[in-house]
Amino acid sequence: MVRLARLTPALSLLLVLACDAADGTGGGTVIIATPADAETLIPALRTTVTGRMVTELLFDPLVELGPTLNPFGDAGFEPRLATRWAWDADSLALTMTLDPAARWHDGRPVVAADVVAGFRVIRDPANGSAIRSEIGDLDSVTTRDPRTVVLHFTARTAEPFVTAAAVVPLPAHLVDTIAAGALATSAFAQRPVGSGRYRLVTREPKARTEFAAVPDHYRGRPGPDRLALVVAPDPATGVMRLWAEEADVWENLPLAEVAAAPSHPQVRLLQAAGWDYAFVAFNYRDPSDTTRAHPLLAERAMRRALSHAVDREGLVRALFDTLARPLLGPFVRAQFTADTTLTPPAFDTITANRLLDSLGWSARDREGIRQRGGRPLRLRALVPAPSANRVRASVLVQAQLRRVGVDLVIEQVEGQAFGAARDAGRFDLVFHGVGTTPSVRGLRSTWASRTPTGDGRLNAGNFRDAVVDAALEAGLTARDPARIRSEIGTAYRRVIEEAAAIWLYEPVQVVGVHRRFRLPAWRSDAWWRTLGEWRLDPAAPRLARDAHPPAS
Amino acid sequence: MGGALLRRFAQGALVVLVVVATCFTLIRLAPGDPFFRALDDASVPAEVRAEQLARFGYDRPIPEQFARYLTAIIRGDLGWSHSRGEPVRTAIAAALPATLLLVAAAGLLAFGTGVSLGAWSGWHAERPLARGIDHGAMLLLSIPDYLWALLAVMGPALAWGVFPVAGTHTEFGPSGVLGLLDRAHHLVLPVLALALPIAAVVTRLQHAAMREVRAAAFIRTARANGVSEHRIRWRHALRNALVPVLSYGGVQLAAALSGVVVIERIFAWPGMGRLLYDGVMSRDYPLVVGGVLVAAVGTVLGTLGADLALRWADPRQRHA
Amino acid sequence: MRPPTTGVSGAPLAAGVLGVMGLAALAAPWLATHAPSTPLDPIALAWHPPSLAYRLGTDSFSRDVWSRLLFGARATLGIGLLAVTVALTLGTLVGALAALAPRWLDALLMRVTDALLAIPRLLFLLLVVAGAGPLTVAPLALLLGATGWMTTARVVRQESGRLLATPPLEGARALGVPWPRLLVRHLLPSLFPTLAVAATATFAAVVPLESGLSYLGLGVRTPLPSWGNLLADAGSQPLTHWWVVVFPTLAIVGTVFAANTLASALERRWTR
Repeated sequence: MVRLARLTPALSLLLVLACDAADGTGGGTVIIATPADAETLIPALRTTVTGRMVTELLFDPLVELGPTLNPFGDAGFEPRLATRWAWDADSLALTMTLDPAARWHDGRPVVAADVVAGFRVIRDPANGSAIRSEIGDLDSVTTRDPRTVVLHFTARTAEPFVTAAAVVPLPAHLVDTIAAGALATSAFAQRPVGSGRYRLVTREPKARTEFAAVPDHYRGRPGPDRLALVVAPDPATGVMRLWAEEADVWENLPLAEVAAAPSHPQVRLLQAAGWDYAFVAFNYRDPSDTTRAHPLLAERAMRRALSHAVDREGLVRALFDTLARPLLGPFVRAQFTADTTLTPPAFDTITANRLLDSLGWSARDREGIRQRGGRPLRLRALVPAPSANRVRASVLVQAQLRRVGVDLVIEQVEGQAFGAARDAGRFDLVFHGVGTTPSVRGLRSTWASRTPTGDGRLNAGNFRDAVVDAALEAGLTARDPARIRSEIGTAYRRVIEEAAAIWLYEPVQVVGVHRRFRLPAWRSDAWWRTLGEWRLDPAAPRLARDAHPPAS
Repeated sequence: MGGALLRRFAQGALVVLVVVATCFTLIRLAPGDPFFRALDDASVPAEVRAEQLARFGYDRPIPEQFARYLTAIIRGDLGWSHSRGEPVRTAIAAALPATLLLVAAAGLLAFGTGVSLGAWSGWHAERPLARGIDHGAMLLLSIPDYLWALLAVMGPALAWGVFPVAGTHTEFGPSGVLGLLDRAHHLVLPVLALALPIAAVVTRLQHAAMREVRAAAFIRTARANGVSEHRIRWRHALRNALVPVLSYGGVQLAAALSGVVVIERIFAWPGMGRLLYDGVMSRDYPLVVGGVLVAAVGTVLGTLGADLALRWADPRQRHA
Repeated sequence: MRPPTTGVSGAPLAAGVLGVMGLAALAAPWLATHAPSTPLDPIALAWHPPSLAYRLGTDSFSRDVWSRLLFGARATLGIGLLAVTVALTLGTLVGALAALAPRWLDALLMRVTDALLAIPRLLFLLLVVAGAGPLTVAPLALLLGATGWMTTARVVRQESGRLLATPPLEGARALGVPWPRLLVRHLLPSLFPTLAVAATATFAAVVPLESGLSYLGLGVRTPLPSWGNLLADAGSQPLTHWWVVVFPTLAIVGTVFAANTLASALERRWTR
């Protein structure tokens, strides 16, 4: 493993920074290079991660999740546009008081009507907002006076403040005049007026977006004076821009680039907990007729056998060295509800063989593939060709399954075709990848039984379990954090026991940042939220673009 | 002359119309629609998509959509680009100058070096250097332009740090004269990548043409009449030898536009090639059709210009 | 693109190179040391430099580059040949018919040809790929051929026009020989040199186009190898993993150079 051994000196350069960034000077220009552009500047219309970054820079929410990443109740949330809040007696109405110093970028103060405008825009079906499902537990938003707004919930839920954070206020004086469904084509969508620490300077779609600091912002003046989001359509040359100092930040450095880092000393690599995970989902339904159960995989013993046959730790080490961790279950370790005591089926080929024998697959053909009644034990795996990691993982899993006599046929499929095949259930196994957030309500989409109302949308394998459904229902509607954790933990445990999937890996997020910046503690779920606290290191040489007169 | 020109204009307009109609139909036949990313979330009801499609008229039959599109073009309205969130006119107005700059600079470089090198080597075709130039040009034109772009990025940009990796200018770079220099610095590699294959073709064409012309009877006559060698070479020989080069100018233009797509992607150049590529990938109907319209008009005009130059260079063609 | 006539000799060498490439492509299953799309050992053998066991090294998926190059030759050269056949057939038909047809039909055909020449080829291909989705090898070759016949048509029209003015054919026409017979019996055999030149030149144009498309991900799809998508596999470290870039490049450039040289030499020998 010559190549991976060279990683160790690179990894020794990885610093986890927790130093106080207050000693450092303000100013500077940060260039963020990304592979794709933000699709919109309006929070209600965002669908991608880059869109989330840009809209959060421009617009402040009512509250924001703090570094504890605790999404339950209000313990983990920090005030933003809302400084105080209180529940009323029946805990269904949340009264929030707005910061009197908060202003829009055009100078007008932020008032309660703006919260209503933001809510209305998300709720309006003609706008097609993807956030609509995130505020499903919110019934209405009313104003009591210009500084007080009341959020009326339909029922008690575990994460009311996640919902509150999703209702981003929009300037009512500009948005109320826009007709229903015309938001995306309005002038406001092209040049939005926001409330965030940065305002929009120029935007060239698919090329670059420039931001300038708002010096009299109610939360204080942000560190860097200017930001630029630069799109690099060819990912290879995008990373090269980081090495060439033409960009200051590049998220998600691939493994091969990490090895190249030592030859570029002006870039510092940061390692942070990742929020993606990959697993092999079993299809509970017959791919040729989804009304019937899968002839092989509906049996728990078969799923457990396959799970025991895979050496997950070896796979992770082989693919990522130390830049990923074996997945424990349907969660990442960074999540608040993560339970590191849970253990998925261990690598144990003896048990795997025994289980398969007991299911009647003891006969073997000439190549060692198990047979039952003359039929070979053959399964089809769906793999997305664009994901190099999952393609490599599929090859390793195939080899390991072969050793216990299972023939895994790999089908590499292109992006859109993969999504279509996965949603239609045309597979036996699928190499699925999920991006999570600190909120756990996403579990309803990935592991709850499919219902017409939208649950189980991402439940690729059509996993169904009453215990899990009940635990999720109880956990996501409780208010007591201990109760929520235990119910969610029950759901996790059950999914793991049922061997609903082979849990593969959760990659570590590796980010390249230019060394001249002193960074606050890194937030891997949304690192841009702390951009305002970035400072220039006085000892480090500045680049030409930092020499910019501070905004007046 | 005027009648022929008018006929060519009319033919050109017809070509543009056919090209636009073909593109218009093709992209609407593609699976997916302009909203396939924006409205894909399951919480968005089907009526919203239907309503948005109706708002922009994508649910009408294609001939009707085309008729509406033509009337809109006359008004100067090229439609709304969904993937970029701005009018198509704005997007094209931003992208066109970037590509024109690239293609014009590459064209000048390619034809300038090609004609001079080719003319010199054709005139002295027996010298080993001349033969070397011809073989070299043959080799150079066998290398596809995207390969040049890759090599350029790998070498001068990344390995040696002499040239920037991508973009039209340094972010937050200097303005004024230094800014112009900065932009020129960023222009070098993409232009070279685009120009080299074309220069190679032009060199060979010019070499061949010049070589033939120098043996022609009229050259011998001029020499016998005492015309200076310099004048023979530049005034008589070259002017004739330019004919085949110019006649391939139009064809090369269309070929260059193909190369621009890949080069703009590799160098992150915000031009028409990238615009069209992204538009096709996002099924952004108005953007693609508008871009193709502009590209077709440009190509037709360019071919016309090449024809006019040809007529100037070769009086025999004037009544063709 | 029509290569001009110059003193580029070396036609036998060029033909030899092309022949070797073709033979290698045909003999790929026997010459290859491994299966082209099977990762050998994603752990230990990814990005392995050229060595005795893996003559041209391995790529990021630990697939053997030599084997991929051979099977990629099959794809690239195969697509090239099929596309050339289609383009040549279409182009000859259009050009010869235009020469034999009455003035108005001749003018119409040639104008249409010129109009189609004005469309940037890559753009058209992009549109079709976007419309029809990923293409397999045969439809891709057909599409490349269907967009590349125009130059052949122009050349054939020019040459046919010249031939029809020569005494033998002029006489045949005067005698009232029907045009299909004129085309097949008299015109086509005389067109052979022109067609040979056009074939090699079209081939030289199709190979970079196909590899460019495959590089963009729109041509031959991975894991099936083609010289173009071998280049794309190089990823973002083309300098350290030079073997993944150099060998497909040499293959593409070598083939195109040989085809161009051959076309040039053929033209020099046969049409003057």
